[in-house]
Amino acid sequence: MDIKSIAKQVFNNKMFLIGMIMFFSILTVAVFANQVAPHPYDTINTAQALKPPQSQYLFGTDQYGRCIFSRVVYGSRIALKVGLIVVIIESVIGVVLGLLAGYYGGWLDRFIVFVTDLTWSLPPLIMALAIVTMLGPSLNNVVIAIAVVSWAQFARVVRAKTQAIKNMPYIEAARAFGECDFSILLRYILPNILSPIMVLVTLALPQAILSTTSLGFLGLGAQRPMPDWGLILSDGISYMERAPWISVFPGVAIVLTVLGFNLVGEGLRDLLDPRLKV
Amino acid sequence: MSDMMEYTVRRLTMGVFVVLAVTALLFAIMQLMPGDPIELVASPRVSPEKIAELKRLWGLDQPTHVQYFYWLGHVLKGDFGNSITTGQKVGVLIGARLPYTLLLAGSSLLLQYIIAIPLGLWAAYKENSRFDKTVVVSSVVFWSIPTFWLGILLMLLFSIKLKLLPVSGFKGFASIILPIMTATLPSLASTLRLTRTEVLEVIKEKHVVTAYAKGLTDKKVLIFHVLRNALIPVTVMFFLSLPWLIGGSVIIESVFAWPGIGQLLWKSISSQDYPVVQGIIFIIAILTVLSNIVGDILTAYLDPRVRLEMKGEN
Amino acid sequence: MLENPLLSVKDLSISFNTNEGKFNAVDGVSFDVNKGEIFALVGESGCGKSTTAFGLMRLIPKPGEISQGKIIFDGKNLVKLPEDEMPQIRGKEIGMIFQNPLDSLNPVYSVGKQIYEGLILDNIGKQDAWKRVVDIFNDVQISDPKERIESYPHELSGGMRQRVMIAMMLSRRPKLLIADEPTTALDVTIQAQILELIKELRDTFNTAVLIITHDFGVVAEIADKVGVMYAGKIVEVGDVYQIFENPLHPYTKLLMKALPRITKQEGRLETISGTVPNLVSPPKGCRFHPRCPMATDICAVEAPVFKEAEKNHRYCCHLEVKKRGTHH
Repeated sequence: MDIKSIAKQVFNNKMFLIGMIMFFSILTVAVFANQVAPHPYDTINTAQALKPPQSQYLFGTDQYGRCIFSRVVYGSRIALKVGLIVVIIESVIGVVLGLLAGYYGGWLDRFIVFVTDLTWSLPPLIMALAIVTMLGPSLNNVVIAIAVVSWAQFARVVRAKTQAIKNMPYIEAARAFGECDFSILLRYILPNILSPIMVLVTLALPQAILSTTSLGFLGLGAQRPMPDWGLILSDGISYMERAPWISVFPGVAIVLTVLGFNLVGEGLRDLLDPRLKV
Repeated sequence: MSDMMEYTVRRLTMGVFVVLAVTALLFAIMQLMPGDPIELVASPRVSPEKIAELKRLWGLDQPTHVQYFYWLGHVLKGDFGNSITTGQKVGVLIGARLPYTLLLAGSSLLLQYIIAIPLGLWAAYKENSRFDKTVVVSSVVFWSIPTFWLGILLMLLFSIKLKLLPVSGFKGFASIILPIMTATLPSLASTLRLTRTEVLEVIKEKHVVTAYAKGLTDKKVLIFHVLRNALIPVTVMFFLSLPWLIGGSVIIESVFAWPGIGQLLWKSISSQDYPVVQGIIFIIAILTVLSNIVGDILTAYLDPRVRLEMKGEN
Repeated sequence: MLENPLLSVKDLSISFNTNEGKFNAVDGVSFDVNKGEIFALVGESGCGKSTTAFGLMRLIPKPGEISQGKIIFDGKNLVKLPEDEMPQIRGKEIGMIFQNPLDSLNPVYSVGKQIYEGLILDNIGKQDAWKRVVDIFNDVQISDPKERIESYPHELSGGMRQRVMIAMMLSRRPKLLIADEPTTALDVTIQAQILELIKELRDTFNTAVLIITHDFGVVAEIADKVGVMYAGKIVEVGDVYQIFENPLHPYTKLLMKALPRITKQEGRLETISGTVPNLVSPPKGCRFHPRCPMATDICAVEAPVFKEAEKNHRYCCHLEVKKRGTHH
């Protein structure tokens, strides 16, 4: 494919374009949060408590008079940071195990498949719940828990793709030239399965953000007064009748972020690997 | 069909190992948890000797693996132990809660498939039509919505603004509507999308042309050849998604104060009520592994090609 | 020959509207097939012969559609027939078998069930229908029919699957069988058996057969009449002995040379240089002229018209040929 036809495909894929625009908007907000947010996220001003949305407080205020808009803006940093770190960890674990299982086969393969089955024997959220409770509620522990329960998806796809190409002539040739296994895996197999991995990464990111905010909602993630979207949302429930905006706006932020990534991921799949099932 | 029997037995044996491994793992995790349940519930005035005696009574002074086998032995006899916080039998506690969760998860599962299959079939049949595009876009939007937020929005709209439905708890039929909607909408989106993708794939296969060439009408080809084949992966997904729904119940039940095991699990984790947590996890692990196995066996039943592969595996 | 032909295709065009532009995959094709006759449509892949066959069934894949012409079958113009009446033609009046019988059978139903499904469209009882399935398996020479009807497509050999397809498409005694490259995916020995079977069934049921092939070997084996197609057009049509003894169009001659000959040990398989042109912008004049070894100046300018060389034998080329007085 030449660059021109790729560009044409990209521009014909409206979902991908819209997703990219959403992604870059959110990224900009997160990077320039200090400039975008009119107030600090933790300034308490009880005189302004539970104010509905207005020009000074775009999304209204909570029971402590904190600006919800500013909290949501700063919250984007938590969501993106956590999502990114989770995805890096889970993809590294998944890709390494998938490569090893697919390439070597035998008992190693069977063992890795058994461990994969093990992580799928409980609903991911429940598994994550158990892990975070064990480690104690904190953002770092949420990252660990979500990575531990979601690497298996990567391992499954990478294993299948590795199995499919490990006996290709060019791999055999590399082996015949005395390339060691490590170099074959890294220089010959990995580059050839990069596109499904890229698709998986972009689709795992929104999933990670959803899981983080879910755990945040249960009070297991970032602790008060950190502006975690899930936490703001769950704290707002008690004020739902008097001040619904506290819970509504962080939700909008989650949906837009997750939707943006999902659209990019879907678009990327259409472009790179339309038959990949996730 | 004896191949099927053999396959079933093999999958079940494997399943038993997986359940044992995961419960043992979680048992170990529980032991590593900070805090000690006895010290948590006992008042500070209880003497250390008394606490030690209680620990002996509960078997908490034994090494972890001994405790695990002790627990497992009792579970196999149907005894999950007693709740540390309330003293009730764990089996009774779970038994009272489980039907509510299964009611919620089961009806949501049925509902999403009843809606998703015809819509997905139609969207694929009319590929690139306005209807199809609406289905594709709205399904991406819907599965980007976190359930807890969706639940809150629905509550705001139907209970607080329109005052049509009760806010939370279980007070008769009307109170199940919002939890079901919350559990159904996001998963409906992904089921719909899956059905559409699978139908699109089958519809391009050559045997569909044969079915037309045989003289079958559009309707018959779509139902008996396209949908029939596309339903194989969709059925597998049906069973694989049951555990997801049960997992999601932790959140939905806590939003709506629904008296199911999700809420119980959440409460027990917060109060470090180990026996209850153990029991619930054990039940959920069994449900998950069983539904995976049922899904696999059903695939083999629906798809003769998979049956052939099974023979090859032996 | 006062009887009307069973199938009369007149000036049929099938166009595709794609991103690269609109083109006619089939462009003004006309030919007749009589009752009980085997007519072979020959040409390289991409020349429109399969599209013609799918057009007769009104099963052209999107974005293709019939843009002009008539398909007179048994007195009815199929082009004008409403879509919801086509199921009464398909399978019942015209059967069709395909190149790859594994892909063409539904993997999840037993082969017997797939034949049964067509049979019960004709108001016959369940038991009669199953009896017919067994009978028709006997007709297509499948051994142990009672057990074989329970088999799934992937459990059968390639030749067996094609027999099942033939059984399916002949089970309702259609007047015409369309066979789209029926032997291409099969071994040479199985190929011969399947062709023999088609001939026998034609003799038994007097079914007309339209066979699509790229292989003049198949034509020689089975056909009564031949139409040679190139780039969406028929370039030569005639009785099989006329075509073999006296091929007139340069394309026909080249296709025949490409036929592998077992007798000539040293003979390499000849191929025609060049490829079938892009039909979005076909060559001006005669569409074959860029590849034609005998092309002259006029060929690039003016499209040739059909000429009759002898009775039933027509060709479409600027070259003049001497008419043969007799044939032997």
